[in-house]
Amino acid sequence: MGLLVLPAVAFLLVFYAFPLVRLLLVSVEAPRWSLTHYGDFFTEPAYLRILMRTFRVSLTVTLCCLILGYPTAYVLSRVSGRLRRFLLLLVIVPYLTSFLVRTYAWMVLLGPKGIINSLLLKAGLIDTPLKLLYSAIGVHVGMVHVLLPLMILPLYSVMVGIDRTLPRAAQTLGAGPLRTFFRVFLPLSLPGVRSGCVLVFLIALGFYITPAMLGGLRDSMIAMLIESQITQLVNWGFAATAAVVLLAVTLGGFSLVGRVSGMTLLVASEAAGQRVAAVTWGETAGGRGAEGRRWVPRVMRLAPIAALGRWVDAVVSARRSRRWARLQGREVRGDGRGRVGLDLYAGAVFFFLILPTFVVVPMSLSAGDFLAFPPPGWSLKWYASYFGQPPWLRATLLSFQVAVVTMLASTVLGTLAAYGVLRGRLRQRTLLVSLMISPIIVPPIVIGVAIYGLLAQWNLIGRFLGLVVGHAIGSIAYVVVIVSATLAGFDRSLERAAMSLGAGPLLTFRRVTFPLIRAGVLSGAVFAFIHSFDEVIITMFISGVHVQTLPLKMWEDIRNQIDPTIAAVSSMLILLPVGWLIVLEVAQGLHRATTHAGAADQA
Amino acid sequence: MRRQAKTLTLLLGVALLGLAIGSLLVAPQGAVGQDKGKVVVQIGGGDWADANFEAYVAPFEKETGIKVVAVRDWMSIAKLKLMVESKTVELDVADIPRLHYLSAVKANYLEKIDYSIYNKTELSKIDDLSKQAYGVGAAYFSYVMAFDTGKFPAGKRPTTWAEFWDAKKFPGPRTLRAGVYGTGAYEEALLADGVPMDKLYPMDVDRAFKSLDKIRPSVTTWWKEGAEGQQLFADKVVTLGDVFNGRIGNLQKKGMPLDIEWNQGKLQLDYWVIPKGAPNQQNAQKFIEFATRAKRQGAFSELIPYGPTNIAAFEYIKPETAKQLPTYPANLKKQFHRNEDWYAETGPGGKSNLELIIERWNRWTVQ
Repeated sequence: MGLLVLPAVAFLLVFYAFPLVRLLLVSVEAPRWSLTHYGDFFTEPAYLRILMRTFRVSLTVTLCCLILGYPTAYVLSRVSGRLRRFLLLLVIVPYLTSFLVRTYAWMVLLGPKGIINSLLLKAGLIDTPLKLLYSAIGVHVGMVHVLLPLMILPLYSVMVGIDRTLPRAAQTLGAGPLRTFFRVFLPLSLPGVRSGCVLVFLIALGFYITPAMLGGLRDSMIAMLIESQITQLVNWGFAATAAVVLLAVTLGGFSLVGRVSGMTLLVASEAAGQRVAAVTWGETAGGRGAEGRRWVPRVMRLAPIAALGRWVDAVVSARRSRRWARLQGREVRGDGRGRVGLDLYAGAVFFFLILPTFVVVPMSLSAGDFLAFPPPGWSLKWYASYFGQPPWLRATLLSFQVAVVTMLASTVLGTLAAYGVLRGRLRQRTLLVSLMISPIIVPPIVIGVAIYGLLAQWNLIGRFLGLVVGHAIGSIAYVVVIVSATLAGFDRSLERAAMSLGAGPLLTFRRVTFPLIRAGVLSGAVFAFIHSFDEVIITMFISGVHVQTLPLKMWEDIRNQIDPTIAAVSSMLILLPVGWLIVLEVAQGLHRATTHAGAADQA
Repeated sequence: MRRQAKTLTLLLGVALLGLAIGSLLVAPQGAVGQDKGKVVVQIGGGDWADANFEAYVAPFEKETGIKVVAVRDWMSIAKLKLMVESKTVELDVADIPRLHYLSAVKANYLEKIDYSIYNKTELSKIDDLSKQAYGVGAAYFSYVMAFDTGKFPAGKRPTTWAEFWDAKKFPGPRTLRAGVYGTGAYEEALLADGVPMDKLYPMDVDRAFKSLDKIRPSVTTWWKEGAEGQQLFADKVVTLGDVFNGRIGNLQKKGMPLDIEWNQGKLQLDYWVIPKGAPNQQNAQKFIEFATRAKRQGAFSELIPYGPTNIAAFEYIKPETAKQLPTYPANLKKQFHRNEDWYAETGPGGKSNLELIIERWNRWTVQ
């Protein structure tokens, strides 16, 4: 069973771990072994300034996300039924929307002639446009918007699992609402705070596109330094050094936070972790294998996908919703007045999350030649412009093709690996799992720089296969995370029963295991597809000159000419998440169908 | 319920498999073959690319039957190095500024131009600076001051960089070129600081950056690609700027209230080049020969007001267009040539002035 991890691990060793090691070697100029580049990096005030700015921006963004996200997640975990479904959609739709589109939306909103400035000018509140775009403000707003779902989802995931009787018990025992919150609810929600903050902070560290698009000269982050060292100076040694620094900070930060808070990357042995695991998963996971429990909750909190699963769950399990509704109803009545302010706050956050993306739609219907608000007239000409330009259509087709092949390959590899990890007897499980899921937090710019050399050697730059390889690294990680969560969540005794009734391992997998994890596999596939379809930074390095994926074409057009064709493309891309949600619902429908059928069979 | 679910899965599976197989069949087309009947040409971005396409690419395909794969992107010395050194050259023709050309020649990144295929009379009309061993001049173009005439009507606007730098006398959001490829507004900064036009080189880099310090707070954004500088004016994000003359010229043609000032303009030259190890070199030579013919260059100048390197092209250029070109005598005498030889000089640390100034720029940006 353990052998099932081999294909994925072999792939990642060759195309991910090996290039990263080589990056390290390049940075120390092996085999001459010299630390010159590190010396240059750490003695040049400009580079240190960029490093510090990277930290500062990431930290500020994390704090902003927490301040905006915590009350929102709280409200989200309190409402019930349809409303919860709807509000969760407001978080998940932006999360599934291409981040290039979201960042572009902010360019449209924040520009000197953008909507915000136009409205303020019209209202007479300002005389000259505020400098929002090309400034630190722009960078922060854009990054917070892009990363906020990554904060809300883990928070929500933990909060919804907090036993509601505990705060009530505290109140019964005479604690006021504030005291109850600080002494009971807040401590219980800390795991969510931790995973949300770690996730947002680490991913923020490697940000490239958003600061490059929305920032001014001064707003360079380290990923931009790496990019410029290559595209302007072809200084591989120094770029590798900066990439290693970024990688070390990211991985170091992760393990440091892990140690401080008593959690290592994936293996949670201490009691606190187990309790959280039990709480988070108590609801959905019935009789999980003990082996699964050891690390899966970590993985789950690493990715906000847990919350996605929870959302789908809420959608599907009407019975549970009703039960929740009953619970909530009692709760809300008990809580009193402070609610309204909180609801308004959360409402504003939801507005912030969802609105910018949709602002692109009216802009795309402009009859003018340039982006302006309000548009001088209405027309569909920018849609016609998209459909009339072969480069746009080719890029779209290519992106779909790459994403489909990447999805199929990584779903197979990832599912096998997840199965092997959970069911096999593996010695180095932690190491293997870290290898497989670390691409979620390793900055794409580091991966891009690292695999360029290898792909160039193998003549895969600008090749279809090269793109698939570059994208599969991240896609496999998502599949492993999601599928193993599903695997850990089902009753292993069913498998044992099948086996004891004489079914071989293959038959057991086909007839018992696979039907049960099908929903997870499908969700994994969706995420694998999205990862590939949105990928732009790794692609930038490995796409050569001819091959242009859709995000790459968008990115280049945004820099070269800001004509409303991009707004039209963006508007169409906004529809994609809706498609994903339908697929995910179907997936859950399948899941339910099988479970019900299984129950019927048993009866 | 169960049957439905099964059918759905099946359908989904079949659809995906179909897509995957389809893509595998279609995909190899994206890869470059050793096909003799084609040439891959990088044509830049925005209006420059459009003009290249119309004046050169389309007619070349029509005349020769050679398929041109036009890539809309820019070449730089760094990209050239990346390609040539990693042996991933997929381009046959690109145009690069003289600023990068000199370094590219030094580093041996380019193929020699085969002048034997040129028509003698055509060749004699191409100016000397444009006839290089490893490149043929594509066009002359200038960095010039540009204005929104609504805010800055004639007579009430800066005419020198010193005045342009004066944000009190001429308030308004500005844009200058970012120094990402080594092409910053350094000469402009020195002129603004009082250095005369004929004393710019060797360049006092410290002084240039000090002068940039002064204008920095008034600069809304620093543009990187030509189309971006143009876009900033089109969107009325800026009212003053240091941008390519042709980009503004094309906006004027569309009726936008803009104007340019030739005084103290910075003139420069782009070359057509063939990267070392390009896959379709013969066709590349043919393309460049075609693109430097007088008639073709005349057509190009009509599409975007940049100066031809083949002097005979003026026969095909309308008189009113000629007046807008940077190489038109009246305009030429107000400007200066950027001295790319200075940029190519190697300093004490083994790095060229070009590399040093890029590094300096990168440090300056985060100050």
